[in-house]
Amino acid sequence: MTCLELFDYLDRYHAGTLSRLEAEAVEQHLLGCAECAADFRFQRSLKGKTAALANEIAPAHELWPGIRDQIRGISTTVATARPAWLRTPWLIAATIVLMGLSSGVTALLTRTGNLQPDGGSRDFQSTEVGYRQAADELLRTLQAHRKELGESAFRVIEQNLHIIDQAIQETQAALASDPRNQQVTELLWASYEKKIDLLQRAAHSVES
Amino acid sequence: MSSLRWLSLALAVLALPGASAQAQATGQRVERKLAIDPDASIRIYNLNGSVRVEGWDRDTISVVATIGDPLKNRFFFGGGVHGAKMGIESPMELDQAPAHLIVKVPTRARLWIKAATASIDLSGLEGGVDVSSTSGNIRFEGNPDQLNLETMDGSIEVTATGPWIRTKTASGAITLRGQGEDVGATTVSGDINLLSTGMRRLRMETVSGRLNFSGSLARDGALTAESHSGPVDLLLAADLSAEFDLTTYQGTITNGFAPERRPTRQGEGQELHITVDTGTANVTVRTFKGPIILRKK
Repeated sequence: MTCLELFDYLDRYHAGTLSRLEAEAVEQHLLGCAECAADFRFQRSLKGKTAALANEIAPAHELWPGIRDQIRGISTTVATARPAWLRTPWLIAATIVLMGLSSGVTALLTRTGNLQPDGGSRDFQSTEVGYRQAADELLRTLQAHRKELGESAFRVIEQNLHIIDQAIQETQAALASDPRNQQVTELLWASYEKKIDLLQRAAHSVES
Repeated sequence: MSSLRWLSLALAVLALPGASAQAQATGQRVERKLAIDPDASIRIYNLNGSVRVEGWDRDTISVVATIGDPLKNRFFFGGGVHGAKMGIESPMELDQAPAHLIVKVPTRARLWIKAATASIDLSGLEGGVDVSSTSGNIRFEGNPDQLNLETMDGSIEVTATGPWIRTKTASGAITLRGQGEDVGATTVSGDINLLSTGMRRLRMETVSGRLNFSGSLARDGALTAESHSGPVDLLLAADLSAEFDLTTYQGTITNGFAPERRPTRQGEGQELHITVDTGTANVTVRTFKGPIILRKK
């Protein structure tokens, strides 16, 4: 499924009207495409905001320009989504790795908006486990190519992974004391996504 | 064999090591040209040294390669009217001696470049451009149809107008100037500097780098900045009409754009949700502990 094809499915995905196979195809694409995943989360949060509005009361005048602009923003992105020729076999392979670990990550992509750690939510935990497994798998793959990457480049990656891991620890600590904070939850997922993106890019750089 | 031929052969053998040493010292120069479609796909591969690509108004690709150590490295070049590929081959890739490529391509060509430490300099290009490097610096100037630049700890410097621009580093700094329709800049620890002259949709993301925006947004533009600990500093055009949605979990917000509106405290952090003028554009900032600063130009 390409980014453009995904766009056709997203509305129906949010509405829950896709077949199981179609929904899985959407989820698999989102697992391998950080940009579409970011747009997906944005649409989902937008849906949450609009759903929270009362039906009988006309929304405040200044609310609509924001929503309209955000929607325009989405369509701009999709209309100019990264073309297929820019994608590489290695990234597809990395995506397959992620797909193989999809049980937890799929939960993330499909339910991020409601995922919070309060009460030891199984979805939250499985999502985090999914991210960790995906990152560990990519890191193992990268370590196998350490020589091709070169020591200094590997050190740069390690240093940046350390920065991301610190950010993850800080958000986790914040969530431990404020488990219902959706914004911090989203920042946590964003940090995990940056970690996976960095590892994917590092892997991409050793691809010949 | 005549004595004269023996003498010639002996002189040639004696001259060979000297010639090789000279080639190593000064580099071997190779030139190639090929007729090619205006929107042909071109792949360039050079790990170390430099790559310079210039767009020109001809249906021809022209390459001048200077190979640092021709005994170890080999320049390859091939293709047809629809596409071409070229680069430096080495049996031991990491030991590739620096090679320098100067390439001229049709402005609308689609370009794919891979490097490790090589610096990359691109200008006058209007097609799709995809560059991946490990630690080389990348500089781009042009109006690309699609632009995707990635390096780990090299820097990226872009001056461009185009519908789709993406730049990513780990610790390298990103500087983007121009008027992109859909612009994204992502780092882990590198700083991002966006100098906008009316960008429409832009997204800046980092973990610990600094996010700096300066300039104007399109009337219906959207600016999103997300950071964990890096500061977010937005220097905005004074006539910007926008809705602002700023949140920091543990950091602070300084509102120098509309100073009469103060951020509210939210737990350990702060929030600011305001509409300036009719609010046609959107500015959204999220940080965990990075301070957010709004300033007026």
